[in-house]
Amino acid sequence: MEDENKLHTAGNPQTEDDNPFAAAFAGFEEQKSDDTDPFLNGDPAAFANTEGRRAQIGEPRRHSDSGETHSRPAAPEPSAQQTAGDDYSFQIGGENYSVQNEARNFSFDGAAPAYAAPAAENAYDPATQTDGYGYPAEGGYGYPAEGGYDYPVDDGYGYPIETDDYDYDADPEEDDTPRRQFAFKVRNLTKDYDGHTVLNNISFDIPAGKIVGLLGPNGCGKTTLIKILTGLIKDYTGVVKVGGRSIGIVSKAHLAYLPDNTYFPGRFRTIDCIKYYADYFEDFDRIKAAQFASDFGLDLNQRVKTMSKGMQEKLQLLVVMSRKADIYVLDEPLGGVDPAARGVILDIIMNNYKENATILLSTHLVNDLEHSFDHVLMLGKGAVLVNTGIDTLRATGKSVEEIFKEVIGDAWEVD
Amino acid sequence: MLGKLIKNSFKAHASAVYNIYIAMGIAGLVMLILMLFNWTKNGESSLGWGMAIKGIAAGALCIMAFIGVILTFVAVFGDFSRSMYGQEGHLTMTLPVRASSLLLAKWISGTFWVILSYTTLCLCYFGSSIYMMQHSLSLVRDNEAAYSIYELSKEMLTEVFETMGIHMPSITVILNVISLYAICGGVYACVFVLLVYFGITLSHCRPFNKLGKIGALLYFIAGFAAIEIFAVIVSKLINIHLLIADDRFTFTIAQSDVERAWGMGFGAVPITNVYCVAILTVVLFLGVAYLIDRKVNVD
Repeated sequence: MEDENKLHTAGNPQTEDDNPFAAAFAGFEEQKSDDTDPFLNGDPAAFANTEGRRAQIGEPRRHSDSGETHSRPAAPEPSAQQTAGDDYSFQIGGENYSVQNEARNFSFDGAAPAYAAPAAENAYDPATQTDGYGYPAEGGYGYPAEGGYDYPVDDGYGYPIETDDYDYDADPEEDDTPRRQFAFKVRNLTKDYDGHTVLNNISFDIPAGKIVGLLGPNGCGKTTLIKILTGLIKDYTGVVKVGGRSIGIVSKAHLAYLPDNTYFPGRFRTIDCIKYYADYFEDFDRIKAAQFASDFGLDLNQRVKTMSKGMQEKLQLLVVMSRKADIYVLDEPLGGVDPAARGVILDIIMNNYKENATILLSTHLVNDLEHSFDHVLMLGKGAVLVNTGIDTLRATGKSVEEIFKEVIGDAWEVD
Repeated sequence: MLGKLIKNSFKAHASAVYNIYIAMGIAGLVMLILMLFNWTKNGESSLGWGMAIKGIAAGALCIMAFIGVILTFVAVFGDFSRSMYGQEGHLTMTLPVRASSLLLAKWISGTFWVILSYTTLCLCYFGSSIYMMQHSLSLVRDNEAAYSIYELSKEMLTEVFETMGIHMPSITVILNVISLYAICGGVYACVFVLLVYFGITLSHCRPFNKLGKIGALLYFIAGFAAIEIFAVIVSKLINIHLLIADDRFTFTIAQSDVERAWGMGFGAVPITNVYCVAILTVVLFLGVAYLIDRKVNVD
């Protein structure tokens, strides 16, 4: 049990700050060797999310307390698609980084920084170390489960180890068990529009309970990613988990989404919008919404089509923030808002989300929001350029905006 | 949740078409007033302004009913496209409801409004025809020569039907036949609405989205043709009729039974086609729900 506890601690993303060495790596997950990750190797067995499905694919059920040792199916060789890709480089904290294979293989150029260089003593031997379950000591990414990297550990199938306490046989549509380890898990996600690839085989995890900044230049795929996470786009390849679940009724019930456009019908009055949300979302707080409307100066009987764009944005914000959701996905909430109103809107967001909820906030206004972020996910050129905690970025001595300009500046370059 | 979805769909459609129904109501009211008002000149019916106004009111009602059908179609199908795959789709498609529930709510509401508009159109034409016929008859009655021609025509028609052995069925049979045809019409309305939904949905799925709105029309036509061809083929293989007697319905595959039923003044409705269409509609519904759940993208 002690081993288990260690594992759970190691898998907790909130301990990242305790270990700057590990934290520096935690964000750049794409650099890790993916050869042993069945997810990234396209192994369909890796996508099984129930014990029943595991049984179907020939893997024995895990018993976390039994101490039984089980063999794991051998991972296939990486495909040509996964090993091919563009190379480019950027700087953070005076260090040069080169990104290969759409940021999937990350390497250092020059002297390794004190907080980041993987020391030789940290090397581990999967053949001799186990994860406490009889499996090789890797976290599903080729990283040791307790090898000093303090990286969020999953069970190799996209679920955190601690989820062993929920019912794998439950219908994913009905299973409402909260799983808070990760707000989002994305594996090998690719999306293209008529041959133009927007997201190219990206994989990342977003820990739960964080305020996450989704940053990137125009057209880098932020809105596409958000649409995928919210279930609006379905023709993608890869695996996406929201709150540990496949996208479906339950994930939607736990996710509050604010799009970057007006989605209420013009005939709706303010009160209709509030009633509409109250009809469908059990976590919606009508009283709070009415209070917001009053604070915003919105007439409950005014129709959406007669409102200005700013009023429509306020209306949408008020209904979204009146929910007690586990995850908030806000697409450009400050876009098109005057600088004076930004602070107010930001305050509303930061003061009204449910405690321990995750906020994924897409924005171009890095400077206005960087002090609010706990975690940053930067996209560019169809790849994840940065995925790390804010403390790691601050350890470089630069602001998020400066790093954003450096990283995105490279991403802007035309091939 | 389904009840709430249906309620909201009804509201959405109603808000789009209520204007035309109000206009039709006003026209109908004008006709009623004119009907009650005796347009006479020196104690005799007139072919002057009174007739002209009645004719215009009846014609206007029919035209409005026709426009109502068109507007209803535009409202129902436009709402489906907009609320599912347009800007409003960001709200609709992120609701914690099943795709099949969303589709079912839109389908029920859309079919209701389509049937209502079509029924209204039929009633307007039927009512206007009777209205104008009665008015014409009253004019004919005032004219001795015209009235005698009318009576003569009526007697001739009655004799012709009796010579051909066609008997007037009872009122019960007529009502049963009308009911049955109404049900068949309802099935076809359902499949029509669902086929349009299918076309719109497929036009938002890759790789079928390249043709845009034209694609939606083409997929609708292709779906309609496929269903009809299948139904016709099956109908030829298994030609089942439903015979309508005063107090019972009987299924038969014998052509002689059908002919005898008509000879006795009963109705016989070919039912295989309707069954095939109904079954294919269920399959189509499942297919569209699958597309919405797994394939379609919101703009």
